[in-house]
Amino acid sequence: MGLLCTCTSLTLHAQDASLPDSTDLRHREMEEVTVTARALEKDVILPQTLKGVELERLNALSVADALRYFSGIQLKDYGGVGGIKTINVRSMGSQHTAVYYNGVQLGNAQNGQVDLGRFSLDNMEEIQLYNGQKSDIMQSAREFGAAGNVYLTTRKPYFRQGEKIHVRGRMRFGSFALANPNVGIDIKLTDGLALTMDAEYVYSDGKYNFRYRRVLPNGETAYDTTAVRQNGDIQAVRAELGLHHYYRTTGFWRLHAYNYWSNRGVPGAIVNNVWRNGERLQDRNTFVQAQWQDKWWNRWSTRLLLKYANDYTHYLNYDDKLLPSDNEYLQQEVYLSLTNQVQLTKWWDVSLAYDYQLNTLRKDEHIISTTDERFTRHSHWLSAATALSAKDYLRIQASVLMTAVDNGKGLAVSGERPKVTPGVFVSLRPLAFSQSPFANLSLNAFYKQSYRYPTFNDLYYTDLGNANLRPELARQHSVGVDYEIKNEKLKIKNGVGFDLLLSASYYYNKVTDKIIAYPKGQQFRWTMLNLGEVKIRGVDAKADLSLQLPLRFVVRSRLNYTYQTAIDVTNPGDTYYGHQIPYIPWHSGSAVAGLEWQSRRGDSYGLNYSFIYVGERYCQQENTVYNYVQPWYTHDLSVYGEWKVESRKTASLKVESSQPVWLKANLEINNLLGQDYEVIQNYPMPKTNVRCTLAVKY
Amino acid sequence: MHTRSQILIAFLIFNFAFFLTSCRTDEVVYPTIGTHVTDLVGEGGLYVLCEGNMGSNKARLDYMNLYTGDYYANWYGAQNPTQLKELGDVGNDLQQYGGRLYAVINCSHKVEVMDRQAKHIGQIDIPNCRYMAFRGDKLYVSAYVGSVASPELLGSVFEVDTATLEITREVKVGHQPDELCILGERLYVVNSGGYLTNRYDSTVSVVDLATFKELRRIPVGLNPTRLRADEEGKLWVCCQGNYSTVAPQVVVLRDEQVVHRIPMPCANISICGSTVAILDAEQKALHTFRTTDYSPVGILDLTEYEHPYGLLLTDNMIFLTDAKNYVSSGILHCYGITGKEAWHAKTGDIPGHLCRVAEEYELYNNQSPITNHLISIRCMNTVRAWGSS
Repeated sequence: MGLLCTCTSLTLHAQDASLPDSTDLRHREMEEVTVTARALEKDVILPQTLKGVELERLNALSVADALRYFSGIQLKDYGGVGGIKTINVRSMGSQHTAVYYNGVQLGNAQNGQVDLGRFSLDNMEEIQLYNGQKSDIMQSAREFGAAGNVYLTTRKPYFRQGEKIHVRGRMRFGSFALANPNVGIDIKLTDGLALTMDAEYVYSDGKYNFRYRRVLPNGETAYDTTAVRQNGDIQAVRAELGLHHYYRTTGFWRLHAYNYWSNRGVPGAIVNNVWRNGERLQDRNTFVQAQWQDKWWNRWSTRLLLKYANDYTHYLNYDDKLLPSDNEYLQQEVYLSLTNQVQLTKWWDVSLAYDYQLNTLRKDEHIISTTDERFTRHSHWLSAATALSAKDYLRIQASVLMTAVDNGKGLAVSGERPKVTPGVFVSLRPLAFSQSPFANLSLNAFYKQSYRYPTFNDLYYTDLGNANLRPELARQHSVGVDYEIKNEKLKIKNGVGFDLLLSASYYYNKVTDKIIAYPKGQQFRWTMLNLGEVKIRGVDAKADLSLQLPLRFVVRSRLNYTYQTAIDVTNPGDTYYGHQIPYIPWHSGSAVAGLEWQSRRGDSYGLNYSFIYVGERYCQQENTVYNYVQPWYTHDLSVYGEWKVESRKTASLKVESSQPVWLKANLEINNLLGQDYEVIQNYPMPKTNVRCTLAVKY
Repeated sequence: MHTRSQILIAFLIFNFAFFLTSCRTDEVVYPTIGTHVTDLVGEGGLYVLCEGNMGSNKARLDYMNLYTGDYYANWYGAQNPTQLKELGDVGNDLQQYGGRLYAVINCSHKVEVMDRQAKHIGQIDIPNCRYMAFRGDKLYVSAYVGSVASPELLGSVFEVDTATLEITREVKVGHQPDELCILGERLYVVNSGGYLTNRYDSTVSVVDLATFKELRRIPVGLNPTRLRADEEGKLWVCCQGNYSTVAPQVVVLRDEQVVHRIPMPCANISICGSTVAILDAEQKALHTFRTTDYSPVGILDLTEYEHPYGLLLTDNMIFLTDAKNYVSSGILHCYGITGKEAWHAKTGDIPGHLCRVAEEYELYNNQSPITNHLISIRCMNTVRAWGSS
């Protein structure tokens, strides 16, 4: 078993070589072991990944900022530290994207949106994006149900021989009066048991200058005004506690508690004669999740997930020009998942999983109608999956998922039949065992169906909701090619070498029964309808290149490019038939380049540049000049230094191994050229802004 | 090393391609686009206020020259290209009075005051303003909130001096007041209660203009939103009901007493002479009645419409708009009095408010946005007034 997983561990090790805290192989191995570790264990289709050093070096504050560097995604960003940030994978809509926190989905049964701006990168070890689904079939049933999956994995504790405690402290400050301290402690309780704690506080007044300038066709200025963004302040506290236990060589369990509290202003749209807004939002998100996993007879793996989440939102509108609101929402979620995987032969695995989830929403409106409404939903997922491999040449994953959602009326009554959705993923390495440089060339394809179920808001929102909605269906077809050249194979003398990963894919997605708001009958009243059909065609291309140069210089670069057409094909009679759907640019992409130098004693210095481009798009269904939105692109720059301070105290005490103290300083300049841009129309983004980070790690 | 240089070149080409394809340019003001839509010669013009969706800042004032048959999208833009953030967010009412044009821009919390060619004169800041009525040198504006927020969520009617554009008086009325009318010395305003789902208001407030005090509230029917006076001094009130158990209806008042009820949905209403047109947006039909004896005159079938919305009845034409799905361009239809469609034109988002004016204006291609009175040179098929993309 140990042998089987070494290759994976080594790869991880090689990539993490510059990480100050080196990996405890034992813990790594055990993690890997519990998953399969054969040809089957490799990804059918490589996910997009950001982790370790690369993640640390990005000019990014939150998970949302980091996801901008992936191809095929669109980020909606309402601006500022506290502005809502959601992502949309391959234009299917943000509600088709599931976000997992340490393997368990983050839910919002009320509106289906997960605000990724709330998840800090401080505690994050890895971010992965899988189009379709994860390759590993050891997954919960629900994971087979989303069209795109983002996995957020928090830092796991790694201890070297003799190390008992790790402490991290960080202070970040910057523009918009940002103050953002963070503290993290990992404690090794016993050989297999570790405790992790992480806490963070964020304050920002959210004030930034923005500028609206328009010119006449002859070039004269029509108007040019600069104002300060108001009511964008935020205060947030995040605290996390984790308990990890590894036992025997096969099993582990983990408990994770998460609490987030925030109080923020909702800055609102900037329109004629309105320069500030009075909406406030208070949130508390709490969840506790447990995971247990073990393996028997070297063949049978079991995983159990449990989660309880309690999310409270308090929405207030203080704007005296509008009718005041004071609404409270309490969502609760209970989730349970059981997965069993059996290794039938060396090349064939099967898995079966069942998930159950209970969602409740309680809504209290205090001002206008003093309503107190409660909604309940029971969801069941049952999945069967199989993975096959023919040595390294061919890998196949197939899954089928049955979903049944009962919106409190009983499954039979609602007339809603369970939905069955398949997914098939294939990858082929025609030259896997040859000596040719194309041994790592892989061709892949997938087909997947997935449903996005209506949210509580879609179903029951006052006046707008429609309890008869059907789920929205997305069908994905994708073909792609990956090519990887690994460092160890092509290493050239004098420590010079490179890693290269190239990948491209073409996809065709079709979304039918799209849930949209549609005006009904008379007056200004809307309802949700299954009305809408979108055809999406796109190409994602990316290249990751890292160069190891002489004199311990390292260059890391990453390029992403996406071309997408997402065409509304609902009704040929519509004025927008055949038009690109709102906020989907035809062209988008990013480029990151970093230069790092490491001294002999292990200090490092670096410079990082990143560029993000989002091309022209339209803000409404109809692609007219009145709905046109200009491209935007930002250049970000950061410089950093990391210094190793040998602890004299520990050295003199002759502890088993001296544990160094690391100091780190980082200065980021974002939107270097001060572009005045909007991601969402009438929500101006900040001009040039800076962040400075000082960190200490022991 | 060979591969490396190739990669470097690929990298450079990639980046270069980025810069080439599409860079940001100066943001040019929204263009005004003229389109020739009909050869049928009429007289005067028609302003169309397109509401635009909340938060989109896309209220748009278009102008149709009925003599030349040219429709100008974003006419206001051509007249006022330097207006900061354009016309505003959600247009809600449009009227002409005393040689001026007034537009209520609801979510910009203002009344935009223009000359007859839609050139900006000034603005009156009124929070959450809804509709207007005029008398003498005064403008009356209903608003969902008063200058001091009311704990009972009552709205107000503001009196504005049209010479100074200053608010002179304010009177508190019922919940979410909408349309208003002036008859004699009294002002009438419907209290819709439109924001109070399940607890709609159902009254018309009567305000004495001399004292500017609310005299009484007349119960009419649940959720009244529209109010128009006919030539006999009767008031026509459109009550929307509660959209489920209480049906919508049209209520007619004479001397502050209910004298007639028509059990019919009324999304919009327009009165011209002794004819009243009632738009039934549910059945998609326009019904016309005589105001004197309520006898039906005719029905115009609108089943081809997606969402019939705006309405204006004139002595020789009927203007009706289709708001489509409310988030894309609408259509303005013009019918002869016989109900035969004369022409139609593509408008902005949610064409809701129509105002007929006696003058005909034109924009000259690539020239100053100042317009001239008719004479004219027939327009080219499509006039790009100025500034296209």
